[in-house]
Formats: sequence, structure tokens, C-alpha cells
Amino acid sequence: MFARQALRRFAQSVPVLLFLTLLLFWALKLIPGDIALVMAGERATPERVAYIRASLRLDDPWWVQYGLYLKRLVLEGDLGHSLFHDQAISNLFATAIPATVELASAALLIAIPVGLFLGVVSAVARRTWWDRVASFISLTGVSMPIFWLALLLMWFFSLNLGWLPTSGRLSDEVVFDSATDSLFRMYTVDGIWLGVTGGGWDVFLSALRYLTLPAIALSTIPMAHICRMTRSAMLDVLQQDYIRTARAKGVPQFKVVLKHAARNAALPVVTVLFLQAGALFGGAVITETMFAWPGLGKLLVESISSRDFPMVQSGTLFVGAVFVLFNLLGDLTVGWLDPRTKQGRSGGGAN
Amino acid sequence: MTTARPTVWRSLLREIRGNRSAQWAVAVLFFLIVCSLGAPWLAQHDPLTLNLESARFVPPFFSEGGSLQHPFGTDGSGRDVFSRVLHGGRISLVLGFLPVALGAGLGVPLGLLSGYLGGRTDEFLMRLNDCLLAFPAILLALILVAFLGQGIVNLMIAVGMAYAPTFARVARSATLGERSKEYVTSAHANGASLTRILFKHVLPNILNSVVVVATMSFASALLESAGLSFLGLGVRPPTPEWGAMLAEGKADFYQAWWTLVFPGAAIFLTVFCLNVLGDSLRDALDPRSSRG
Repeated sequence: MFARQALRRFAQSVPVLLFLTLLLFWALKLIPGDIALVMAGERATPERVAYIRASLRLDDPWWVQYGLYLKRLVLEGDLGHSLFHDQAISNLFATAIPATVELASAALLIAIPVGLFLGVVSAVARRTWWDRVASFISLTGVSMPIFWLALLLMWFFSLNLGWLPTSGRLSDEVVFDSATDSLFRMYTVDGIWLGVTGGGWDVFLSALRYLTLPAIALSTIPMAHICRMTRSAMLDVLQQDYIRTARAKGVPQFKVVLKHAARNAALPVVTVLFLQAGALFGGAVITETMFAWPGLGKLLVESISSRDFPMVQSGTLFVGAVFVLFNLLGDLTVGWLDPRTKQGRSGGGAN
Repeated sequence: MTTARPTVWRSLLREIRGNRSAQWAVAVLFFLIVCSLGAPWLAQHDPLTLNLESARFVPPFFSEGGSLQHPFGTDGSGRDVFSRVLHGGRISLVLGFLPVALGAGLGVPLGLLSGYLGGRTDEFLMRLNDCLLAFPAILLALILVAFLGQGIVNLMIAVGMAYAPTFARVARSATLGERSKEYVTSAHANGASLTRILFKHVLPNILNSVVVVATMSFASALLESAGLSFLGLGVRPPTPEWGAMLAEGKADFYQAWWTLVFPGAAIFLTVFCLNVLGDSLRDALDPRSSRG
């Protein structure tokens, strides 16, 4: 039952992605003026313009162009060629994706425990000052302009205290050539690898120092959303009869909360978790730009400013695909966790 | 049913009156709006006038070397930060409000139609809507800004379009609940036109849910517009807008923290109050959600 549900849910995300490709394809047509001219740049030779015109088949009807675009994308896995960097886009992705994954994972490592803890505490200690403080923190988190928070963090921790660096990924003083020495292209992971294999821990420590501020800034919004969802889900569950029964039986408070309530409150929280993770792994546009973190988000913003349209197309497509994928994973996890789905499997009912 | 409209607002007002934090939020928002509207009279300086010789990086009045001449200090070009924050409010608030109005204007009629007609139309419209909802709003806005080009009008269109699917979804599900009610059936039996049924009869009854979504969207649209401007994809300096002001002040923040703190605080305060208001309205109007 679960497998069939999963397959159906998977099939549903295909039209969504096709729709995005169509949207991006038409977006290119929205650009005022001749696309070939815009793409080639102001000082391009007529040959270059003609070359771009021919490679995009701009003189053919739109469905031929779209078909060609899809064929390249899906069958050949060709993401296109960046005009600004003059490189294959897949090469640019290969360095940007690990950076984004590293930052997003670090942010989630902060956001998930803190968000869950604050949410549970404020639901259990409802209407006490614990609840008020936790609710205030989460409301502040969703209302905080992340670029402002980033600036304040830099101002405080770097300028005033001088503890942490503000941009980049690694100190110049560390002996580490990212082109040849980096196995994972995630410097904290490389650092751990070096440390474990006896190469010393200085790379790891330096990478961690550079990672801290952007990770804190990026964790704010997901932390706040997780906290808010946990609180409302826990409140819903704690009001139900079986919780009162458990309490009446004399089950200790922490056991009621962690065992009886948390299990049932988990479903909406898991959904939010995956939604937030999907948004983070697609590249944090603002945070990465602020901290000069060379990930997908920064790449995307740069490509928009430099009017590098193939890069914008493939970048947004990738971000969208990641988001859709995490959405799908979230739904599948919820389906797998939900006792109602399991019931359907054993009973063979109409689920 | 013509009395339905005032009733909605009256019930919203009652909720606000009964809730301390909502009262505070409304008061602060009202204050911010009045200050922004009154910017030409309240600000002593022109927000664009440069003063490169004598007044660069004057600190705010409570710091050493500051004066009430420039209450929030001046920026690297000698412009008065206080005046710029006030004038910036006009643009920033509009950049939060107009996209939401555009999103509601597009989404609500579609949702009404989809929910009321049902069947194939509903199926088609909602599938399309789900495709749009499958992506974060900021991504849709980013695509549109990237391809339409940068600027205030395009920014508003982009952010507005990104919010339309949310409104369509909410309006549709609220309409589904109203569709089979007697007042709709009787209007239909009386031969009222489709437009009349939807806008005169159904709309006033689903306005509650729309207002809640609009308040929340106002908050996030303001954040997103400011964020896009900060990235240089929306309002361009020297136009006073909170996000663009932060982008400009970023270069000077080692010397002049006040060029960043005040516009950022303005964004934060506005969004915070809108979220408080949205939360309390949702708790009050949605019987399912648990009250804190």
C-alpha cells in the first residue's frame, strides 16, 4: 500500500517539474529585445549572435525550441553553458552544490534541535513565561530580515569581539589547497578527514570558524518555523483524551510528553522540517551573498545581475527540483510514519 | 447580504479589541504608517540631498558627537538617515501592500470561481495552482525579476504573482464551504448572475480567511521585497527604501552602525507587528487552531 502511494506521489511531481521547465522556457521569451543579442552582450560580433541564434534555434517555432531544450536537459543531462563564466554550468554546480550542502546541513543541525526544544517547552509549559519567551523567539525568527541579522552578527562577533571571520570558507594561514587537497569540497568534512587520518585539526577548526556565522544566520527562519509548528502540534495533541488518560494513570510528565504526545505530534512537524530543508538545500540566496559563501544561492544572484540567462534557467530549475524532491521525501516520510497508512496496509482496506 | 461586509470588519475589530498583543501591534503599525505618510512634514531634511563636506557619518543624537539636527545620524554621503527611514517607509510599505493586493486580486476571483463551479474547471485550475504552490514564493519572484528586468514596478508584479496561488487556494476552500448554503442557492434561484453570486454574496462571507492570509502575506511580501532590493534586484539606490538602504550601508558598517540599525529595525518592527496581528486574527477566526 505504501509503495503504491509512494509511486503515485512520485508520478505527481513529474508534471510539476515539466511545468517549471515550461515556465522557465517562456520566461526567456519575456526578455525585451532580441534574445540572441541580449545573450551575446553589447560588444558581440555578428557571428557570435548568429551562433547563439542557431544554437537556440530561435528561427524555429517555439515547440521545436522547447523540445530541443527538454531533449538536451533530460536525455543528455546538458544544463547549458554559462555566458558569464564561459564554462559548462554542470562544472559550476559541481563546486557550488557541496558548499550549499555544507552550509545548509550546519544550519539544520542548529535549527532542528533548538526549534524542537523551544516548541515542546512552550507547549508543555503553556501560558507560563517559558512559553512567552519561546514564542517571542520564534516570532522574532520569522519576522527577522535575514540580511539584517547577518549584518548584526558580523558587526557584533567580528567587528566588536573579533571572534569570527565574516566571509569566505577558510583562512589563508591554513595550508590547504582546495583544488587538490579537497576530497569532499566541504571543508569541515575535509578537515575531519584530515584530522582522523593524522593531518592535524587546523583545517577543520578554521573551516568551522568560517561556517559558524552563516550557519547561525541561516538557521533562524527554519528554527522559528519548526518551533511554531511543534508548539501548535503538541498543543493539539496534549488536549486529547488519551493524554488525559495517561496522566490519570500516573504516567510521569516527561514520559507523557516524549512518548505519548511527541509520536502523534510528529507528522506536521516532519512536513515542515522537509519543507525548510528543501528551501535550504536549494541554496540560501541572501545568506550566501552576505557571507560570500560560494554556493548555489550566490551563483544564482550573480547570474541574475550579470544577465546570464542560461545560468538563471538551470539554477532556478535546480532549486525548484530540490524543493520538489524534499517535498516528496517529506510526504513519503509522513506516509510511512502515519499509523493510518500502516493500518491500510495490514487490513488491505480502501486506503 | 449587503450588511455582510461591515460585519466582517466589525468582527475583526472585536477580536483586536479583545487581544492585548494585537492591540499593541495595531498601534505600532498605525504609528509607522502615519510616520511614513507624514514623511514630507516630519523629516527635516530631503532624503536625497548629499552633504559630502560637513555632515558625513554624523552619529545619532544619543551618541557622542550627535545632535538632534540628525536624530538617526547621517550616512556616508551625508544624507539624513531619519529622513531616509521615514521616506523609505512609504516605498517599503507599498512594496509589501501592493503585491499582496495584486496577489489577492488575481487569486481570490480564481479561487471563488474554482470553488463555486467545481468539476473539471476546478480540477484544472487547482492542478495549475498546485504546480505554482510547489515552489517557494521567493523563487517565483526571482525568476520573474530575472527575466522582466529590475525595478520597482517589476518587483511588485513579481512578488504579487508569487502570492496569487496562496490566495486562490484559500479562497477556493472557503468557497467550497459556502457553496451549498441556503443563501447561495436562493440567490441562484432568484436568477442572480455568476459574478453577482460570487462577489456580492459569497465573497463577503469568505473575507475572514482572506484577511488573515493577507495580513501574513503582507509581512512576508515586505520581507521579500526588501530582500530583493537588498540583493540589488529591486529598488535601486539612492531611492530611499529600507532594503536598498541596508545594501548601501553594508559597505560603511564598520564606521557607521546607525546606517544599518535603523532601516533594519524598521523592517523588523513592521513585519513583527504584522505577524503578531496575523497570528491573533488566525487564532480568533479559525476555530480549529488552538489558542495559546
